[in-house]
Amino acid sequence: MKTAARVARYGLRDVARGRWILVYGIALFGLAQALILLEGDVGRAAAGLVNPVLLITPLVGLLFGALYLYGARDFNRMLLAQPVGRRSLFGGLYAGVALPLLGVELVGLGAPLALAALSHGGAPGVLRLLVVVGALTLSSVALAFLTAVTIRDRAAGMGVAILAWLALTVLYDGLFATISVTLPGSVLETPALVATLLNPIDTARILLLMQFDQAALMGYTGAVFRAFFGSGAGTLVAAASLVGWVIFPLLLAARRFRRADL
Amino acid sequence: MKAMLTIEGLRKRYGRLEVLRGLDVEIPAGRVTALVGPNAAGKTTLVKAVLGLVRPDGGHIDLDGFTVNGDPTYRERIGYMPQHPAFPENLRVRELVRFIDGLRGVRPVIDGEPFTRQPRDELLALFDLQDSLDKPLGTLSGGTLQRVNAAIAFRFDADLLILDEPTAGLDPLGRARLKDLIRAERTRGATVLITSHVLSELRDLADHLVYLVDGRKRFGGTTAELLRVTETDDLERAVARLMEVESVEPVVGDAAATAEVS
Repeated sequence: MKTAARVARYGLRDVARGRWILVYGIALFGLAQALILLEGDVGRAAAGLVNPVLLITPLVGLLFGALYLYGARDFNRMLLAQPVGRRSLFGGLYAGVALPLLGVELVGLGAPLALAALSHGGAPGVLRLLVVVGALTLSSVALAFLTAVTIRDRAAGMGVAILAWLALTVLYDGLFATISVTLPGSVLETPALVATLLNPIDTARILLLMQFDQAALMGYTGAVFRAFFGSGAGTLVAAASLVGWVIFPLLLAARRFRRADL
Repeated sequence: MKAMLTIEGLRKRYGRLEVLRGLDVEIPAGRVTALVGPNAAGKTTLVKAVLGLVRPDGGHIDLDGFTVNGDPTYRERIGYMPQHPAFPENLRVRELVRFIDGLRGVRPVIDGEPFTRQPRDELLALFDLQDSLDKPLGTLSGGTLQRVNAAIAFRFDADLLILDEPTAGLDPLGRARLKDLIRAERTRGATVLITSHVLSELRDLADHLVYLVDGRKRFGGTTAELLRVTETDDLERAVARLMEVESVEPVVGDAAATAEVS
C-alpha cells in the first residue's frame, strides 16, 4: 500500500506537470462556463453538459490511460527491478493517472458550476454530474489499462481504445436508432436494457438524465430503462452497473499485469 | 567458487518462438561476468527472468540461496542498469532519485540506527549530475540520462549488478568512470553481470564469460579458459571463434575447459 501510494504520488506529479492536462482542464472550464452563460441557469447548464462530457471524458480517459501505460513500459521495467510487487505498482500507476484526471474534471467542471450554483441558490444535479463523470473516468482509465496490458503493440492498442470509444458512443447510438425504427418497441425492451448495462457511457447518460428528468434526451434505451425500473430503482441499477464498469476492468487489468511478460 | 546466481533448466517461449531452451548458467559471486551472444540468443530474456519481468515456462533461478518465485524482496540485492533509460519526462532528477530511494525503503536513519545500505550520493557528483538535479528528465540528453541510469544502478551497494549495454551513449569520460566503478564494485565483493556487444569494453573488465546461442549456453567459464580453448589471445577474436563454430561442448562454470574449438 505504501509502495502503491509512493508510485501514485510520483505518477501524479509527472502527469500534473504535463501541458495537456492544463489544456484539458481549461477546455472543460470553458465549456461549463459557456453553457452557464448561454443557459442563464445552472441546472439547465448542467443538463446541457451531459452529452458533451459523456463524449469527451471517456475518450480522454481511454486515450490518456493507454498512452500513459504504453509510454511507461520501460520505466515500469526499471521499477520492477526494485523490490516492488506488481500489484503495488499497478495500483500506483492507476491512481497516478486517474487522480489527476479526476482532479482536473472536478475543478474544470465543478468550479464554474459550484460558483454559479452559489449565486443562484443551489443547483440540483451538479453533484451527480460530477460523481458520474468521475466514475466514467475511473472506468475508462481501467479499460485503457486493460487494453494496454492485453495488447502489446502500442499502435494496435491505441486503435482498439479509439474503436472502443467509437463503439460505445457513435456506433451504439446509431445501431439503436436504426433498430428502433425497424422493429417494434416491445421486442427490443430486454435487449435494450441489457445493452445499456453493457455500455458504461449509456449507463452514465441514463443516470444523469433521470436526475435532470429530461426524457426527450434519454433516447430509446433511456426511456425503456425508466419505464422498466422507475426512477429510484433505475438509478440504483445504473449506479451499480457503473461501479461494476470500474471494478471489473480494473481487476482484470491488474490480474493480466501481474501475469504478463514485461 | 560460490555462485551468486544459479540458473537450471530455464525455458521460455513466446508463442511459437522458443527463446530459452533449458538453459543452465552459473554466475560466480564476486566476479564480473560478461553475458554475450548474437541477437536473439536469449540474453535479454535471461536477464528479464532473473529480474522477475518474465515468467519462465520451466526451470529454476536461485539468487544466493533465494528462489526467484514472484516475491520481490530479493531485488533489494540487485542493482539494474537498463540499456535504454526511460524516465518520466516531467520528474526532476532529484525527485527520481528520491522516488527510487523510497521504493528501496532507504531512510537516512532507521530506529536510531543508520541504514546498512546508505545510498551513494557521491555517485551523482562522479557522473557530473549535480547541475542537472533540478532539471526535468525530459530535457536531458541521452548521455546524461544514461549517467542518471548508472548513478541509480550503483547507488545502493547491490550484491548483484546487472548492467545491460552500460556504456552505450556515454562519452569517453563517462565510460572511463563507469569502468572504474565496475572494478571498484568487484573489489568490494559485488557480482557484476554485463551484457554487451562491445567486446573491447569487456576485455579488461570481465573475469568470466557466458556465451549464448539460440537460448542455449555454448560457453561458460573464465575468460582465460575461453582464450585457451579458442587458441587466441584476444577476447573479441575468441568470441568470434565461438560464433563461427557450429557447436561446442559447453564448459560449465569453473569446470576445466573441455571444449575443443578448432
